[in-house]
Amino acid sequence: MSTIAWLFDGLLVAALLYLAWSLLSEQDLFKAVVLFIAFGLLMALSWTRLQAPDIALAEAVISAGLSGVLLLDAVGYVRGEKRPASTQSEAVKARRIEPVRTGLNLLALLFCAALIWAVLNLPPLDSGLSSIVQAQMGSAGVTSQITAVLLNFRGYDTLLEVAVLVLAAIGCLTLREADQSAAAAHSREPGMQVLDGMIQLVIPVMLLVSGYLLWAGEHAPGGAFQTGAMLGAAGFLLLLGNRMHFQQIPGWLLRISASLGLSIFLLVAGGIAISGRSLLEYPVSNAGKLIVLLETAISISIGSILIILFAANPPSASSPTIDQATPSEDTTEIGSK
Amino acid sequence: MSQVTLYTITGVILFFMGLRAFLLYAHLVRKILAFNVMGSGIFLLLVGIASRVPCAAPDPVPHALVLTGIVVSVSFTAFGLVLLRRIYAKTGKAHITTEMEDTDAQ
Repeated sequence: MSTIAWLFDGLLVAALLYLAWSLLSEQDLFKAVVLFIAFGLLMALSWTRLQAPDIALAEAVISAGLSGVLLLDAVGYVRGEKRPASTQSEAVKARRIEPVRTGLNLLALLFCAALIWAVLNLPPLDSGLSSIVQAQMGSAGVTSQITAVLLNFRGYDTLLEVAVLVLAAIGCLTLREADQSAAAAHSREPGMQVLDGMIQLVIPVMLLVSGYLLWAGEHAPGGAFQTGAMLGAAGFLLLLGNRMHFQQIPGWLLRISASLGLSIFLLVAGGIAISGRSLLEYPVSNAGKLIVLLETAISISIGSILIILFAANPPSASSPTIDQATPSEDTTEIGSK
Repeated sequence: MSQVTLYTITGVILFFMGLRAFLLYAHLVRKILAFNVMGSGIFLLLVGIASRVPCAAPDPVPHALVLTGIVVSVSFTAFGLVLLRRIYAKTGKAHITTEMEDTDAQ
């Protein structure tokens, strides 16, 4: 058994390193992103080997799924880029950069070796904070240790993290191109029928799974992050299949759902602070209820924030043709008239 | 050396692979990819360090940190890609050019 486990781990680690190397050195960006998605899936597998099923769930949905879609769209968008084709300056530049490159490689190798040495020399039997967490589990209000750490013991971190997510959503909404009409009028291609059928099958299952994950978070792997990611992924599918149009979602709904998690978190924190306790010190008798409330709000927020992040990165069908200067239908009509 | 150490060392190597690519490549999509690989390396290192005691449940605090980190890294990726689109729409370029390079090209 142990030999097989070693073999499996060795192969997995080798595949991870190989994929990382080839995705970073791949010339074709599209291939690099596909390799990145494969890398994310293998990472999810590694998390299960490291007894971290919570992280595996999040990684499978987020790194392999959502980041992959976003990156593929972006690669399609910048495909028409023209690089300056002056070979002479390239050669000059390459010569100038060469010593820097060698130096960087050496420095990276040196630090890498030092860090590996440090890892190998860590005190071997140190259980870290797990004994403290175990001692406090009675007052956590939930039975899952990870959920207890996320929303009770280290609730402060999660509060700030939700704030970072809201900031990212605001940044994306501010910077996204004003002209979104092209994305809305995304033509329906024949292949869409397959997508339509798949959406009908998959969306109810995804909603069911996200409900289960939210419920399971209290005592098993699952919780707000995985639920939110699953809801976001369902939103991605609906947007891709033209079943939902981002422009048609009312702005107030979007703002409320994106900020729901942060607002409720702040209300809870403020209410507790007013009642004389420290910032996120839940009363033991109500801790479970408060955590479920927070988890629900954060799930909805993360789902809608992910949808905003995706809508701010519209599929490449709407990319402006900068280099080719092909006249759009509107301009030719005006010209002919 | 246990299997967990294997993953920890892989994490370290992934981090430096990503860091090297992040510094060397000028294309912005490559930088975002490299940043994600760096992140994965850090997460592996953290979770590897969390379960050093054999036959015991791993430390849940680094696990919670990594979970938070994964969600933050996807929002970082999305925000970076929006910035990339803006840069591309304004300049027609998706890679970083220094002033020195610009004068070379002229």
